[in-house]
Amino acid sequence: MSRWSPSLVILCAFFVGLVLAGAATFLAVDQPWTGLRLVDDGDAAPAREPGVRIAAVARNGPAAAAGVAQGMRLVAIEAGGRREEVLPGDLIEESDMLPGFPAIIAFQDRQTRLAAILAADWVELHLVDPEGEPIRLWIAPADSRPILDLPLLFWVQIMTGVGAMLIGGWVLGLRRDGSGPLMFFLSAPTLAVSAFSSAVYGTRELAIDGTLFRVLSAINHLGAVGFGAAMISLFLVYPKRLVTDRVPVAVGLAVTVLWVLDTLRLTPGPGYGGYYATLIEMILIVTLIGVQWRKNRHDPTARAALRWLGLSIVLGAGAFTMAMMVPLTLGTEPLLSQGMAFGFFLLIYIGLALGVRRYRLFELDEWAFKVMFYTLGAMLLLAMDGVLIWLIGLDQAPSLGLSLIVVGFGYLPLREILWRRMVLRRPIADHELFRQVIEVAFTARPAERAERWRQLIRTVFDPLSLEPARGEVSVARADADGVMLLLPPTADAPALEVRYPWRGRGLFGPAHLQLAREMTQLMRHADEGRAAYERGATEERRRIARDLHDDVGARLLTGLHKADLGETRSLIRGALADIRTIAAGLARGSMPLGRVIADLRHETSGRLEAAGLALDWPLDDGAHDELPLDYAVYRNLFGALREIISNVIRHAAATTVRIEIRVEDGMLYLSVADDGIGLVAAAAADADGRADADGERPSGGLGLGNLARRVGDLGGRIAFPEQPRGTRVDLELPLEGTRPATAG
Amino acid sequence: MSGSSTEQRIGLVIEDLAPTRAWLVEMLTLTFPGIRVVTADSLASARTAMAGCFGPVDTARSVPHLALVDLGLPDGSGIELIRELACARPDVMPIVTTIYDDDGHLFDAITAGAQGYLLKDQDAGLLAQYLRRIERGDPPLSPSIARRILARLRSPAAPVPAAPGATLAPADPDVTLTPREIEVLSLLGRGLRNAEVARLLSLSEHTIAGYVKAIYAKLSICSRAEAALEAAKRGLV
Repeated sequence: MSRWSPSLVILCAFFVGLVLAGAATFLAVDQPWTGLRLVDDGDAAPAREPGVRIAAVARNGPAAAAGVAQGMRLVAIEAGGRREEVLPGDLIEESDMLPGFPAIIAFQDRQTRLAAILAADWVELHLVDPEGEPIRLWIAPADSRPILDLPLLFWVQIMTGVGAMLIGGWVLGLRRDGSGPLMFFLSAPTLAVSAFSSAVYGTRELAIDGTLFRVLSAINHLGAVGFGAAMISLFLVYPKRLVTDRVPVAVGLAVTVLWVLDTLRLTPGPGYGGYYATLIEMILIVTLIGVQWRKNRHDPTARAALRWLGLSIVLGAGAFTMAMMVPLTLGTEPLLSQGMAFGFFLLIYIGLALGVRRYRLFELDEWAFKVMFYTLGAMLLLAMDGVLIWLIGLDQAPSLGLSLIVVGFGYLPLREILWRRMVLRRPIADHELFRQVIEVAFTARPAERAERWRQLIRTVFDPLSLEPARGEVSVARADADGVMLLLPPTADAPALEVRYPWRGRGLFGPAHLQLAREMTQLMRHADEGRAAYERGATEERRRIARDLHDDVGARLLTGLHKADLGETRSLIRGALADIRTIAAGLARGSMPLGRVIADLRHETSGRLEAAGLALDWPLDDGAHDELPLDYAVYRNLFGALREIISNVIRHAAATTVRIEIRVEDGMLYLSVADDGIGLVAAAAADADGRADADGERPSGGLGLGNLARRVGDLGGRIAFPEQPRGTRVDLELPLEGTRPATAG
Repeated sequence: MSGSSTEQRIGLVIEDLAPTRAWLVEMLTLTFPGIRVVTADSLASARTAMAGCFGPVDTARSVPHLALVDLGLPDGSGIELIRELACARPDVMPIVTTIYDDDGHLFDAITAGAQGYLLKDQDAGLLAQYLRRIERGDPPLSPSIARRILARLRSPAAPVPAAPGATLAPADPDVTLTPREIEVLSLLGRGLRNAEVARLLSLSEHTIAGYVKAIYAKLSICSRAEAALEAAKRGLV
């Protein structure tokens, strides 16, 4: 049972109930039939009237055919020379009602003799008509009793048993993790066998074989005491566990021993294994309900559940006990026919079903009904299917063609639709799943992401309940025999407990577990990717913010403090040029070397041209044009060249600037040489500018010192090799391995 | 050329920042003595001003009217205005004024019909010099724009993602560049200035300017529509 889905458990319990009910019906039908309904007038009958009254005669029955009429009295039956008087006592529903084992044995012997006569081909009925005149009629009892002749009493008991199995199976199917639901379930088969066996002998026409009677009676007793034992055990562990599981087992054993003794007639009388026993059980049940009530005084939920379940059981079983057992114990007539009294038990189960909705009995919730409805729906579909096939099979006439058309064009498509709606699982295609996982992963807000993840789980598994898991979950795993799936914390959602996949119509199998693992893994990868992207973006933003502050801010600040408007303007232009470069860095993470060189060249030649200097920058072969340059590298390259050119224009007194950029062994080399007065002289000339700046930064805003530091941060070098004339600046920057330096 | 060259030329400055607007007005009056400058600070006021100041279309002018158009205007992009001007007023030369030489926007402006662009943060002297060059038909072309044009027109197999508002198809069959134009564009795309390109190709700077001007004209949607119209008129198509 551990690998069965809730629906399957319900179906199985229901099916077992149906099979047992079918067996009982078969037994009840497989008896000789005369078509008489006999009643015992009891005290109302005149003392002198012999036999039993014929209350009704089945119209199509053998008795009617022979001329037996309502109102006559049946005095005796005879066949093959054997004659038996018919006594009012032969009609009693339940042999337990007789005082002591000898009376029961005598009764069962009479049943055997009566049944043997009724089994004959021809039976002579000794009757008296309402005027008291004796009549003798010969009838030929039918081999079997028509199913429609079975009285309401029979069906009440069958319905009770099947209903109990259905609801018991329902509870067990959904809660297999505790002894409470198991005990509750066990009450169903015990009740069912008790009701079914009683239905067979209790609604017999006149007699069944005495041995069969005895067996059925024993089964009835087993069911009755078993039901009481199950209920006692239930309240020993539910709502609060009062004892260990051994006690319910002991109760079961004790009851079994008692039953064996009773069946072997080793008890002092029939009541010890019958009505005394059930009465005592009932008292124990009520006592235990009281104990549970007290134990649960601080737990209003448990009390509410107990109040409802206890009420159902006390009312159901209690009413039965009051109507049947108490009068028997006191030696008086039962207040109600036993068959009808069995209807009280159905109250227990209907009460329980209602209680589930309201009081969460056995912790079942509203969704429990969905399982039930789906299961019943699927069952109904199958039943309808069977009935239709049966009907068509019956109809061999020319209408078969018509039936086929109706079925083909109407019924089959409808059945398909219903089947798909109710039973078929909607799978989700791989690409669709991937798309949805990615969508969840890239949902911006964490709360929304968590909600969408839950939604995705709902879509994929269609579970009845989806709640945060209580314990820690590191990897997706199935639990509770496949009823539950535990998912690790994913997509900002906590660990989840997914219960009852496909609305309780299935279990989590290895394939689903695999799918869940793939989903969580995919989600984790996507999450990591997004997190890495966000880290990268944050890093980029921080770098740009730093550049804005260090470069643009510094230039603007310096410009603010310059007295000379021309210099201020030049600083502002520098700041704008910086912004341009930073903006380009925002737009693209890296730029191809060819483009960087082109932009550098364009800007530099423009500036030099405006300042009246010549530029000598030989065109390279473009071999490394496509080499991507990180923002950090080209940003510094721009900064460096701007700074160097500014210095040359301002201080070098040069006429020509020679620039060369080349790439070699993963290093970028920039060389700027002028034909001016040289660095030392330039630095001396710059001293004036430094005096009115902030002392650290030369008038350029960025300054060569600052530049050297930044180049150093990137793992590069800046050098000013000795020149016979003018100044030369050599800059080298590594193209690779700039990341560690920038990831600060 | 008709004798109408003596009539007054008009400069329209469309710029929402007042100091920059004033500075541009000053630049225009200093660069082109005798010019009458009309200003606007939005697309709406520019349209009103255009309707009033230019008068009837006069394609026979020896010197064109000028319109300096800022791209980021409060009520929309200056590119719309450039397109309107390019199609309706062949006697007005639309020039983009911008702070950032962002190739996407400038490329769109050129396809809309801009005859050149000016960077607003340039030195006054330099700006005047560029302005005169544009007016003479020697428009600037930054390396990034040159590269973009090449990418768009030369390799239809790998089209550049179209910028919003761009109306030029990735492989526009109407626009084909001559091998010479491609050569010039690729050198400009490597950061060389017109003079350097001229030296390298052993051509005059004037010829290079002519190529650039032709490229501008080929890109302009309006002039291409006009050319097609003209061809149809002459029964060539």
